[in-house]
Amino acid sequence: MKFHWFNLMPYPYLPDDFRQKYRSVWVDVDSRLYDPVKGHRIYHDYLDLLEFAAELGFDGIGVNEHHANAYGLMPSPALMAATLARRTRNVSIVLLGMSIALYNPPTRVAEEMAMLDVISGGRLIAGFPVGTSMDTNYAFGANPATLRERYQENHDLIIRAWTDPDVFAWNGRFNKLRYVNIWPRPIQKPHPPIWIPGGGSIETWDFCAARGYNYSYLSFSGFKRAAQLMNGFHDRVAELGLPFNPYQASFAQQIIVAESDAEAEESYFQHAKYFFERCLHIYPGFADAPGYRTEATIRAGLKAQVGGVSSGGAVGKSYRQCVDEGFLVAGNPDQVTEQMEHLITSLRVGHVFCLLHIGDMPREKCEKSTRLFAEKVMPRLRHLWQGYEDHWSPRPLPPHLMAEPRPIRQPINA
Amino acid sequence: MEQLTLTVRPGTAPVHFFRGGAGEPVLYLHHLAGMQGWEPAIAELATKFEVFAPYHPGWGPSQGLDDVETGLDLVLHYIDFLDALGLDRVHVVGHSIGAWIGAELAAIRPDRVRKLVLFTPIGIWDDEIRGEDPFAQNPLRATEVLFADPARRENLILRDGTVDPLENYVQEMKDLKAAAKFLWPIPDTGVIRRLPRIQAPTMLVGAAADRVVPPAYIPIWKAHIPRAESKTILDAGHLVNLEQPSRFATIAGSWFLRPN
Repeated sequence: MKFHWFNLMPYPYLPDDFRQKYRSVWVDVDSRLYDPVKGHRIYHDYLDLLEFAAELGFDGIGVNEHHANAYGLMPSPALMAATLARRTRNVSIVLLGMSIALYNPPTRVAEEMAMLDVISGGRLIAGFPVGTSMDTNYAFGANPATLRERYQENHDLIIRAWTDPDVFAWNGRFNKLRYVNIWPRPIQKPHPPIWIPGGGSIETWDFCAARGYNYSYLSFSGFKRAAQLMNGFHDRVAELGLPFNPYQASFAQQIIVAESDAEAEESYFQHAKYFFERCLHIYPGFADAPGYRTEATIRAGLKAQVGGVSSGGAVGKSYRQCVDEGFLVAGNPDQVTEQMEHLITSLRVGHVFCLLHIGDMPREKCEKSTRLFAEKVMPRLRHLWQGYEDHWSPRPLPPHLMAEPRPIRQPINA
Repeated sequence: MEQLTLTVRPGTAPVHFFRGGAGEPVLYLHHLAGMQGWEPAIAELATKFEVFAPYHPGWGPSQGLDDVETGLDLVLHYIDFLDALGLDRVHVVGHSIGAWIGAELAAIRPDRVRKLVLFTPIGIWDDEIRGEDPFAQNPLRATEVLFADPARRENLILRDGTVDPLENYVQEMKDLKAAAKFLWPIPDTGVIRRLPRIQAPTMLVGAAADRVVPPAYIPIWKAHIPRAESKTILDAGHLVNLEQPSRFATIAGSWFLRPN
């Protein structure tokens, strides 16, 4: 069983009356709420937390891409991954990912991910999300009527750019390139493992199953509501006659670990409330542009990835309700271990993105719960899925080939 | 009235359209939210004209959105449609996105258009005239913004209540997706450069309560079309045909009948 530490990097200083005064945390959120001086400290705290998680033995540390929002401050996830690649050694760099439909030409993604794979010594996981409607259609102006076709073409071009050793011409519907020949090339062959973060799009199941990609389901509605979608994926794999492997599936879960259940509620729950009430406060008109979801997905009754009609589901709920309904995995280490085992076995996932930083949680509290999880929860769950081989984790260089970056020193004249 | 399908070119999706009435032929090009069948405005127009009312490719029951990428493709599609029907010259009444298509048709093929009426035309952008974004609405009430009185949507788009709400929702999203293909993210189609080529006498009609294409756009269209006049309809939003069907039919009909 593998565990990845993931931080959305939310802006933690949204005002108490944010829901009343502003219509959306995304797209048209007031930029005057952002203080870049505070932002300086926040970035370093968040990056420190990712590096801290790597030291504690998490298998991967994760970053992702969002635009024009206070929910997650990583418009360029490759920048975040680049600094982590330099300051960590053995951990997987989970870039989940770059919204490949937004890059023109998308060979930019092939290049940057190849750079990261080379810098990190083959530790990259390459995530290919479609991106939320807020990010892609509204903030970046991508046409929702053709977004998925563009995504598909860009995917095909990136894979070819990584795997075809010869210069080739690409005459696509959205990209026309006379000479494709990326430098550098990734260390991992034929290319880094590909993970597809999917919200509620049923086409993603077939895509992942047919291509042998990892299906990563990201939801803030908790694991109990996720069973339908994860089972949909596993069922699709079985229908196609492919073998079940838990490592082909991952799930993101918000987790609070404290010394006691009471401490989790009294000290930590306020930060989850901040997240549910402010970071997911999305104007519905930005959540689901016409055409963003396919007709088949609409008919299947599935909600948009984030900010769909159900995203406010945890607003106003108590700590106990959030835990009982699965929005949060929370409590003391024993309770969290029990809930995590239930999550892992019921969803049949071999990878979990542990969202241990939630909302406006300060760094010290997050370090404490991260340490408790790493030391008192993770070791008791490692045995799960023994006997299955993980084909979806990176294959880094052997230690003797790994570079040793120079330690940071003060300037000589300081 | 009859509901027909016609394949205008081999290998393309058939056009679904309504035909009714008798008289000089009129081509009705519908707005961004499609057509609610043989609407009262169309029926009234058909008391004096032979009206052809097709669904654009990708709207309503029509498939074929993949066959059209640009405004030029849409114009060629309608030239093929007229050819297939054996119609040489027609009056054109276009509404919303249909007004854009009608203006392009009249600019590119002036020989095929006798007279032109453009209701709440979309397709020109001015930074100083910000309408509401028709594609950034609550998906459960996506078309409310298209009405002067949002409550009228219930009666006019949601039909008689026997239609499954999910089907309505799917249809609204399908129609708006097709519109978004041509108008996303800003409805600047470039038609303003081609408007001076229009030769047909043109009536421009704004709606006083149009929140998507504020009436301030009408003078811009008028200034670029050589033989244009304009009117404003009160108590109507973007979907004039549904909120003021009789005014819609009367304005179009009397423009077509007016001696040159």
